[in-house]
Amino acid sequence: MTHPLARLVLAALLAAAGFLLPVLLGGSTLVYDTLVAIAIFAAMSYGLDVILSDLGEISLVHTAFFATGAYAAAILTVTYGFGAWTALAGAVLAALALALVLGAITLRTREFAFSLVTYAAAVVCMNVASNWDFLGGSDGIVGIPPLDLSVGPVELTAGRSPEFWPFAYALLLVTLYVVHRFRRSRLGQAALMVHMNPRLATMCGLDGNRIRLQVFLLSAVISAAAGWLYAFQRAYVGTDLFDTYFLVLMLTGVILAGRRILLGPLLGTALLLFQKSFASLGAYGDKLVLGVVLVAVLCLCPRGLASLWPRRRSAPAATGTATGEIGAASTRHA
Amino acid sequence: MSARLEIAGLHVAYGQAEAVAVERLVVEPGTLAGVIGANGAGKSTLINAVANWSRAEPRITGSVRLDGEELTGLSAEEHVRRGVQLVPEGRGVFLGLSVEENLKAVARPGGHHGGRSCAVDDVYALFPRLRERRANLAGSLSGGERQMLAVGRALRMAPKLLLLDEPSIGLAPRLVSALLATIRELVEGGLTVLLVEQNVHAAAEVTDVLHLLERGRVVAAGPVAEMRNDPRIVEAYLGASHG
Amino acid sequence: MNVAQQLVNGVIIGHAYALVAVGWTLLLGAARLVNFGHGQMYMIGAFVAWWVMAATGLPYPAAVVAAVLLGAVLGAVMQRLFLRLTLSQDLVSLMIVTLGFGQALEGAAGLAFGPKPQTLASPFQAMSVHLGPVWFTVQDAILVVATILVFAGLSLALHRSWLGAAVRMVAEDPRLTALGGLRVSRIYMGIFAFEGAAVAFAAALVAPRTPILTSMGFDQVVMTFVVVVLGGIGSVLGSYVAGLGIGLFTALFGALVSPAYTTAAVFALLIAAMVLRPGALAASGSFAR
Repeated sequence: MTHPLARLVLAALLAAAGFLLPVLLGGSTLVYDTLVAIAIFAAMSYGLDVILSDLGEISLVHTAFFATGAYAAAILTVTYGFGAWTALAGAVLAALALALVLGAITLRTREFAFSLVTYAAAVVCMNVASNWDFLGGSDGIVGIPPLDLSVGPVELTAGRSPEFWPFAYALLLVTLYVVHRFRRSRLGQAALMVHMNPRLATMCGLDGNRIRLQVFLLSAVISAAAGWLYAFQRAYVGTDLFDTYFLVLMLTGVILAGRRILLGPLLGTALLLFQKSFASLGAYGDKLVLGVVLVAVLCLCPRGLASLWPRRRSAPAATGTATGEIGAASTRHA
Repeated sequence: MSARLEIAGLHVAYGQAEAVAVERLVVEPGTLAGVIGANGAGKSTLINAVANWSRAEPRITGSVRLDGEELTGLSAEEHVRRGVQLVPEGRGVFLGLSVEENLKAVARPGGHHGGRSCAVDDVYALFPRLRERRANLAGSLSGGERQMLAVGRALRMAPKLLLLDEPSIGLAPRLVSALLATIRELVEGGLTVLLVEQNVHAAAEVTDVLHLLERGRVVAAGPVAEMRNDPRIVEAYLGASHG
Repeated sequence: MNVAQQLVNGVIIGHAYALVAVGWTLLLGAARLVNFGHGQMYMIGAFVAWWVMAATGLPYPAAVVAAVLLGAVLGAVMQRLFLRLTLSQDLVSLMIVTLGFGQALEGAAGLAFGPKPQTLASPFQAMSVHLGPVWFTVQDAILVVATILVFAGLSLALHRSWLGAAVRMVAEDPRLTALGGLRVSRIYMGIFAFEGAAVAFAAALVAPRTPILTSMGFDQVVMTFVVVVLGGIGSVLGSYVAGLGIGLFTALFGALVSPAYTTAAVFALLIAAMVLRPGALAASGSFAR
């Protein structure tokens, strides 16, 4: 497990196996639908995961970034007739712009206040989206064309779910790669230090607010990219994107498995959506299940299901200096 | 007759780090016992563990007995009800409540467990300064007044054993002597006290027995007269003048 | 535009905001709990009152009492669930857990009461009072009077009673409260039960004004969040003033500027307040008088 090449081969094998998963599960439309949804919502959740695991804050505004990506895709394709690539660029830029504004406002606050301010920001975004005609108002925007990412002679289009799977899966892999790289990057290490030991970070010459803003921007782009793809998959965007449901799904997905585990949000989201697809109790029942799962995780094992796993490695966090944490965290992701 | 307080094999740990390991410590009824030691020796951890109270979440094992009755495993509230009363280090009063409210808003002092019950007026008689400031918010009191209030509040619950954690901290020397003298008076009246103090000079003036704590362990203990001449204490805490 | 009527509307809405907020205010002040399940508890209160009237034929006042009782039970359930997080003061986890709690309540209510909109029929909603250029319903008048009584009662209880002192002690320092021999979990139980009962009471009085839906939790109560936070964390009088102020702002902004963007405007105000005065959010813990 320690040889880098061996790890690379293992990751490639896992990625290949993941791609074949819908076929292995029978290849029905429901399987494809479910897996596409898992890939997209997991990608969305990684935006929040970066904030939660690496900055130690809980953002309640990430549904707005997800919605920004989706709305940007819808407006650029439906209203202005642009292609999907342009829409992606637009989604990223719109999310960066929104994150820059929100970041400037919220990042001076910490913890409790940060969560409250981000929640308030999400409510403002939702209120604006449901009333501004440019964004379709309460009707939303319908008639988003099928996804077409063709480049030159290479034809890349998708309409139905089975065709959509490669794109959703690719988005997920890119997201995982980005999060993985981020955690090993200077920014990722700096973010962790700012989170774990702000005073030490300041002494090391790190500008906490600047780092927090950079991470915030990255996380917004991740969630927005997921929203961009979701718009094409659903062919419709509306204010339901701001629903508490998405927020709770994201939070539960991230918290369920445990913090700072690369595949955690993916597994959490997968569990929740598998239940919704294959063991559904109806719309109300599923809501009940989702709520109960979130309450149960936080009340019974707040460190996530992974903490129930027998420890292979003793936690250095007990006496936890920031550098110890960072070392442990980076090996865990390596 | 069993001792008022009997600690046996008490171990307290935060995470992996053991902070206190006291094999045996006994306090006889009607005496004032002191625990002295340097900063970080585990004095507060020890006294908090006796009351099963902490702001962190330590792991406590071992035995703490009050008049022969096992207390280990009981909640902090239950310790109070049985007569073990802690005055924690630093903040022992509610700053947002008035002096009088601080004294009144405690579990009904029964005296049913054998401690001396103590009315609000008794506290005022003991600390007249508090009567003058009865309507003021505790947040507006000076450090010395707050410490008096914390002790007064503790007495309201009729303790059989009063645990004092660094009552002298942050007080002017004159106030320290006055406060400790009052504690001594209470002991003469029958109260049993375990006092944690970094101020060894002051503690040695009023205590009957001293326990020296180093790195969580009791390294020396005995009547205060003997301990004053113990070279470890003389060198480290009392300085040459007492040698 | 009839300015006098808008002012009256603002006063009524403001009292509704304040009454819906009162339990949350105490909860936030005493337990530092931002209850995102508050809206769903409001919804449950309204539906329980509706169900009591529809299924048993009992009169409206009895339905109010039933809603309050069930609300208190719901609050007690919350306390059992959240006690550990409350004691460890893990504020952010507490906040998240209430989001899940709200989802669960909404799902359960959907299963129990179905998707159809219902009407909580208060006989006082049909009686109106005309005073010169303005009018309001008897229900509105009851709402305003009840709100004033609840706030006055709570304020008195907090500052003049032994129980109130206990609540303020827990708010300031729960660990130290235990050293007074008081059972902290019981005090929390009372605080949570009050939150449940108060929001159910508010729902039973406010909900007759509009049709009720099991999905209304967020929309109906989103302003409460502003009232509670803007009122100053846990300040009882502050949230009354904030409720009234936001009610008047809503009515006037809606009439003069844009009804659609009222929520955004109010939340923008809130964000400005929170960012400019983050100290107010540091949860100082003392209840302002």
